[in-house]
Amino acid sequence: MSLTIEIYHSDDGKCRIELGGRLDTHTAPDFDARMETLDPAAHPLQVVDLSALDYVSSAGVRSLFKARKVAKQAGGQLLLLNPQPQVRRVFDIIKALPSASVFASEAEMDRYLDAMLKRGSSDSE
Amino acid sequence: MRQLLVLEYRLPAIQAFQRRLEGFLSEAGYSEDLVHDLSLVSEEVLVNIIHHGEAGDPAADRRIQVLLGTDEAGQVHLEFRDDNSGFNPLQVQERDPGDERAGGWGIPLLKTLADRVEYSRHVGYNVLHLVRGERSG
Repeated sequence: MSLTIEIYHSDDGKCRIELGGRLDTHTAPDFDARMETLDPAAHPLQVVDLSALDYVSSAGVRSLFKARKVAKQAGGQLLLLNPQPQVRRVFDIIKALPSASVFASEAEMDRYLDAMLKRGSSDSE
Repeated sequence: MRQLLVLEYRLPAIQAFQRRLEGFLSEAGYSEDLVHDLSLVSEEVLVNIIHHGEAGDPAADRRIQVLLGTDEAGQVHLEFRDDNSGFNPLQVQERDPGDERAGGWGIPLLKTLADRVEYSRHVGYNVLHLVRGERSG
């Protein structure tokens, strides 16, 4: 009943945040605190990998929403990768995270990023 | 089958409640989806009750009661009972997507993931009764 957070930085400005377990009322403050340690200017592309996340509640969705807003305000992007069916269903019901920022696979996300580069724009909604 | 669970008005009490609820429903043979959805709905309801309760009397001896049961059709019933001032969560205005203020985001989950949900005010208690059965597909 807890949350695991692993953060990996790479030199190309990408930052990968792997979540596992549960993102809920109890664990959302931990996630918020870890995200605050990231510098969105140094890592304009933040990918939150949800493959191992089993459970998200409205408190968790609110935290993801806030993190996405912080990234966007700094001119960057926060993308959500591979939500499990139960997590995806919660996103679909709450509708706070645009479906354009949620990707079912790494390949799908790469295609999106390639297309974005071609358009030469970081505003991609 | 029927069980009464009692919780303190504290957020950490929710986790312990969810563990018991999930264990209980899993042992009774309910699907992962149903167990997940009822656990999630319970978190949303209890967070509302506890937040709402903080505005009122913080007396430490207050408790939230949850009655858990199943009927002949195999549907699960959960009844949340609290002694906060009158508060019907079903009448909370749903937030627009993008409005990050607290409250409101859990209500669509409650309405979608329960098959039926009813609120009543009963001799000083808020009573929220919800029903959920297995869904096909």
